[in-house]
Amino acid sequence: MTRYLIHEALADAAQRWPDKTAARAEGRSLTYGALDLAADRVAGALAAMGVAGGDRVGVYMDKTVEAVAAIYGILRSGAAYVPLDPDAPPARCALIGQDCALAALVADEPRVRALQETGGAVAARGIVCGAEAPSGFETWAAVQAGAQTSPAAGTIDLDLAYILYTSGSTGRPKGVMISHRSALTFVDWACGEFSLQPDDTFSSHAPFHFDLSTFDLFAAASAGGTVTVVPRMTTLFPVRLAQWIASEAITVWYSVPSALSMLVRYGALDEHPIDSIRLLLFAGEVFPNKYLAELMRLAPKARYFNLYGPTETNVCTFHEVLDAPAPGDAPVPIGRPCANTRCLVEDEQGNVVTAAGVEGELIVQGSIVARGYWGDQEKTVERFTAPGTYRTGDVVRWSDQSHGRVLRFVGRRDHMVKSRGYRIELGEIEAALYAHAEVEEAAAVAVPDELLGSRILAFCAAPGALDEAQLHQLCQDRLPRYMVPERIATLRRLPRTPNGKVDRTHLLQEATRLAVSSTRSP
Amino acid sequence: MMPNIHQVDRLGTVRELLANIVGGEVLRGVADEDQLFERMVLDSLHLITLVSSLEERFGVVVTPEDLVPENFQSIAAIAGLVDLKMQR
Repeated sequence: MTRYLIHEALADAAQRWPDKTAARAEGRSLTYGALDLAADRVAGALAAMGVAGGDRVGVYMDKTVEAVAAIYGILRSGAAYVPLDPDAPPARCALIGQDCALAALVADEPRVRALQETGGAVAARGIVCGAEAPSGFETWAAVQAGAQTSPAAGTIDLDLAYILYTSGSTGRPKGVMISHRSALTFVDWACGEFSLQPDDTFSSHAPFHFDLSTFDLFAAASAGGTVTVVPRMTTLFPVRLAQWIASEAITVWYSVPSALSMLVRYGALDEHPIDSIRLLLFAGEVFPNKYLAELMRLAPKARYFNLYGPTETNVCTFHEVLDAPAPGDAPVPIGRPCANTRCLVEDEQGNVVTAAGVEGELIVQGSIVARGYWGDQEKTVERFTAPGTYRTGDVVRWSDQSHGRVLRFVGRRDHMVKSRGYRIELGEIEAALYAHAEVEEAAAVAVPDELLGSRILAFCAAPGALDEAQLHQLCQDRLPRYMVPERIATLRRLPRTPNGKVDRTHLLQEATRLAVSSTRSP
Repeated sequence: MMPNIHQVDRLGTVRELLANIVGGEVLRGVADEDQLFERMVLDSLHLITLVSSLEERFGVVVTPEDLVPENFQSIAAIAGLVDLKMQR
């Protein structure tokens, strides 16, 4: 049967496998039958509170089985769910809640109170997980004990399924609007491409406000598998994580590369094998070759896929890594387009280029593309140049390989750096630094400079002491002269954003402090 | 048994190292035995940074097997791990 809506898989699975485990979190689990019923109660309660199709409902809680049921219940009510980062400052969540005018909220009790204490007018009604409901709210227990069932919401595939807020360059979070059709294009592709099965057990590592989570939740339900939330404490301790993967018998893993790098570095995987994993997916940033290769050696049974796509395109390209890369190799390709997706490479003159090796901005077209930014027509028309078309701002190039043509990620368009008139790719400098045996992490940044265009500095992290002069020599041996960083600072660890990516903003600030402006020189 | 002077020092140093990472403000009012993971949000970056600074300051090597919740649940537990590592 054709599905048009992202949550329809739940009702189907509940029909086919009512007693099969749908979701597990912190030692508790829900069968498909129980999840279906819990979601129905949530949808019914929301409808009774006046939530209608097209509304937005916030989810502001820990990654519990209730949170999973809340997400399905909101979708079933016809509203879009807006996952709020449970660790973010309440004031930021209030800002988001106001931005998209949340009609209701499903939240943990302390978080509702924290949100109300910000004084911002955010959703005066909803469902609260806790013993006491503030005025306007009902408790989760009361909702579940009730007999409300969800009325037919009349949702169509072009309606919004969820809004994911990402950080905006101006400091104001941007709400990426994903329709059912967009989400389902991704999920259906994933289910087919990876042959996801009812006996698969999916990890849920990413937070629900991060787009990787939509694979964990919806691909698992679509396949009739089980999704298992990685306990918060487990994510912190790599050996525990390895043991958890084995004890939960995870077969499908999806996370940012840095989580996997940590597992390789501190997980003692030779003693704690993770060979239940058959499918290992990573996305969000470049996976350093040395850790990817080591992981492939330690978990040789898994198939490895690099998935690529900004939140605005779900996942739009993919690449299976068949052979472990060597440390000095280029990063693994981002691959070829997903189903019903077109990738165009456009040069600076606005021409679509098809020749291999020519760099240009990646433009993504298809039903996988988001509908725009909530309440921001200006940014929407700037990046979404036509319905179903998104300009990624990422620079890529086509590359011919023996088994076909793939895209390679070159860098951010706005990270494209010129110094003394030369074009410089920061990733190439980082690759040079990674060639040093001791270097665990490397990042190059460009500090804007009036005279030179930019000055290049680099940061390296290693467990032991690194010799700056030696690193400098390494760069001089491998890079054109104009690409050699003027300073290579060494740190114990590179700073990271809450989502686990290298915090380049922070590094740039540090670099600005270290760099001596040419205009101040005598 | 009263803690000896070195152990008191150790607690102070661990507190100082942790404060450098999570911020002194966050640690205010956190006693040596308080459960850190209940009191604050520690992420993997904090933890790895803490491990690096413990290794640097005390000249110990924290192995993957040492990196378990029991050893990091309180300032006292972290100091205890350092004591154990330094005896070896």
